[in-house]
Amino acid sequence: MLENIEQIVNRLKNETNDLTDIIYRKKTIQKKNIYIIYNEPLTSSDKISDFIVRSLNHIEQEKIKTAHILERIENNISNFKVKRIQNYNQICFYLHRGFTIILIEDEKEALALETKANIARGISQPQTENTVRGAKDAFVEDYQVNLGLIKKRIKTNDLWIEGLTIGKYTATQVGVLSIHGIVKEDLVNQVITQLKQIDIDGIIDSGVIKNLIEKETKSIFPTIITTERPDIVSKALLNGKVAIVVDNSPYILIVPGLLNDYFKTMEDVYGKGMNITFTRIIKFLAFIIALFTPAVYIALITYNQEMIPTDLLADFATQRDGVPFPAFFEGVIMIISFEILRESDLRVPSFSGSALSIVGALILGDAAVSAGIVSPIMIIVIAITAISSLPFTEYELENALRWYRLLFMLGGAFLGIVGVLAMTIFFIIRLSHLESFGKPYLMPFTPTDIDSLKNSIVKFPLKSLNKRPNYLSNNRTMQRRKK
Amino acid sequence: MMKKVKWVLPWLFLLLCTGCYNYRELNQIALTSAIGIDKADDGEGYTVTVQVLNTQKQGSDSNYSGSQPKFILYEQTGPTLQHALRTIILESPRRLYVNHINLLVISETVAKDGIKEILDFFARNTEFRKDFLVVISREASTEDVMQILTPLETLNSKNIHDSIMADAKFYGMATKVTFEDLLNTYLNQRTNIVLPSVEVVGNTKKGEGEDNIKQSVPDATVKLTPLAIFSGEKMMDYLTEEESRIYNYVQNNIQNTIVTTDCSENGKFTAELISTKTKLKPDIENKKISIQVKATASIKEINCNMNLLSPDSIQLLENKINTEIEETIEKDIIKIIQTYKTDIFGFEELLYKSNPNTYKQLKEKYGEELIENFKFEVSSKVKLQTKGNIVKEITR
Repeated sequence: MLENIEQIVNRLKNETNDLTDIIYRKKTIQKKNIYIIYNEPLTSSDKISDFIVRSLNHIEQEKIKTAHILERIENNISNFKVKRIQNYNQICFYLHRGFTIILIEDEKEALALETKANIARGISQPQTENTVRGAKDAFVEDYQVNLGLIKKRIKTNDLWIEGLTIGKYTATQVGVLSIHGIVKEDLVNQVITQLKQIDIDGIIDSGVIKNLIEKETKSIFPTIITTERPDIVSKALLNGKVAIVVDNSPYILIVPGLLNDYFKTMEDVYGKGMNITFTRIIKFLAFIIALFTPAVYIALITYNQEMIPTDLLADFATQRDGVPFPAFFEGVIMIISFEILRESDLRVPSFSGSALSIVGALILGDAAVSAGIVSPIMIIVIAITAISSLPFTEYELENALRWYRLLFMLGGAFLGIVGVLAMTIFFIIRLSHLESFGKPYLMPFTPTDIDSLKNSIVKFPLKSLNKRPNYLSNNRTMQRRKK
Repeated sequence: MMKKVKWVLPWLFLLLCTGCYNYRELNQIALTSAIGIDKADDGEGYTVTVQVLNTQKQGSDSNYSGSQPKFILYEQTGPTLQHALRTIILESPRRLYVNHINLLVISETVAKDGIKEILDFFARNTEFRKDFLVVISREASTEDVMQILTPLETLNSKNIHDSIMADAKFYGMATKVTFEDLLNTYLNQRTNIVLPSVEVVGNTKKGEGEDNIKQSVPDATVKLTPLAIFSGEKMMDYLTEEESRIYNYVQNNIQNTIVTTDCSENGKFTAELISTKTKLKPDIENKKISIQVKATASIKEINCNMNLLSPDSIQLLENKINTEIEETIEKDIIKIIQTYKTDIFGFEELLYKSNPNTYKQLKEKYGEELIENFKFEVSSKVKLQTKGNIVKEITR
């Protein structure tokens, strides 16, 4: 099949439209023609000249001639990763992964030698999930490095990795990680089945896989955790979750992701139970404030004034005096301005960030009030809402809150407190209805799971958190106390 | 997709169909803090005065602020209360929002003619809360009482409201009567209504001006006066200050008050009573009602030369306080019952609850003079706890 090397080289040249990046070098070794083919941007020419060319020259100079030139090269080449390949497709496969191919005249097999160039960036600090305490390394764009960061933490034969290649053109490497013996097998199988069903041109980032396997339209709440911290992945694996590593993405997916998981950070593992409980309460409060404040404010001041204490109502009335818009419209203006500001702040280069914040703070805060377009109290309401939607590391969760906030506001604007209540019922129904890989989204609150409740709003001391949640694992004992 | 749209659209329309029932922006309502009810000048119908909070924004120029009144009074006359109240829209650019009133001022003349119509109106109307306080404006029109600009708390109605609450807590002359209490007392045939009253002290004309709150000695203030008592729906008379306090003692309304009595032939002392508790025990067979007052006291002022370290003098002072409380209560109860011939204390209700059958027999026998045939046994147990920072008279 691979005997006619000229034909293969021609075919390759044809298919790649004579791509100049692919280098073909012809050489004669012991009177046999060989081709050294490599993909220049992906390979390190140092490695090629150091190992391959030098070894080949050495073989050439040997006095003893051999008929089995392939074995000769395979055994003598000073390159650790050597693979025999049998067909044309494999040539392409390895060529696009930074290997150097050696085609030998009249041989049935060819050789692929690893000569990858290091085109990944080094391990750096996490950008989006900062913690005060805890490991400071974060995932990078390289699959092997990412796996290494996890394997460095979990040293066992039970860390099983199921490798897949997804994407017609990108042929992206995807690994499904789980700890055998802890994880429930059906969860792993479900993830693998879902991944195998993906038929797509290219996977650019793990975000694409996330959207494809969590069924994007089902809910705006995230059901898959994305993280750039290896310690979070390791902890999740130890709890019986499944991680999906995607090549070229510094974000690793963890399934299942339940609502409760988005309130936890890695610091929660390291901190004292009592202190973490306080932080969690603050976070849940922030969650509720971010959802309800504008809606409740609008409902109260346009329908249910009787629910506000007299003095406060007088204050509200004084502040709203002269504001030309209805309260709902006023709220929407402010929310939209804030969202524009936030989006701009994310996109602009950091050197123009200060200009943005000055304009934002002055125009939105001060000038709008002085001009009488919005009331100061509305600024306070939107500000508290805005800061309350930020303490979550999961960006998708923050974004999901925005839609529900608007929905609640709509309910408040049409029906007052009753409307907010109606929307709350709708919201709770939607959340309870949601599932992440077969696990109820509101677990452990409903359905109640006592052992997981110990690590929900209240965090019990680490010693009493000795069981894995039963929805994740059948092997539930996590730590045994030594006497 | 179409299926989803078909499902969502009806709900959306349903939302729109509500037509924003009861929607009102804050700058469309006139926040009313108090309502006053007076007789119309021609004697027919009522004159209603409402106190509306001025929620207009003070100008951003700081010199300008303070020149706006904190509240505005509107006054209209009509054949009925609702009529008068609604015609206020003729003067006011906004509709009255009465949910937040905290004070109802009823003029003396209206109260003397009967407050049944007022009770009916406020009980019937769904817009009112039932927890506002009710006061009688003594010898003054409600408008006079409500227009005085009062220092410290410029909002007149809140001033009256707060001083009633403070007085009820720290002195015990006024009684906190919410509309709900008033209605309940009225509907109960065996008790009679008692309402606190206020009057204007000083120059009413000057008191409504801005200057009133700029002076250290205001031209006019609103002052609490003793309780007004009712028989049925009609007001009869006012109690004296002491009688008012005795009323509150018996009703167990007093938490904190002061007692002044003699400690020697030419010296007086004042003690503060804290956590005062009164228990009424009816004994219908022997026609006797025993009243037990328990309190802890602390000496606030003493003008006799006494050694407060000796248990004997403490005992003496305790006895003095007890005697004072016992005597005044007994004397005043009998006086109130005999002078005003109305059972404001609710003794009849107490007797009825303790033994309905005997009560009915007695009621048939004595009729309206039932309570006059009862004896009162007052016992007071006051414990002197703190003696102040010095134990002896200051001499040099």
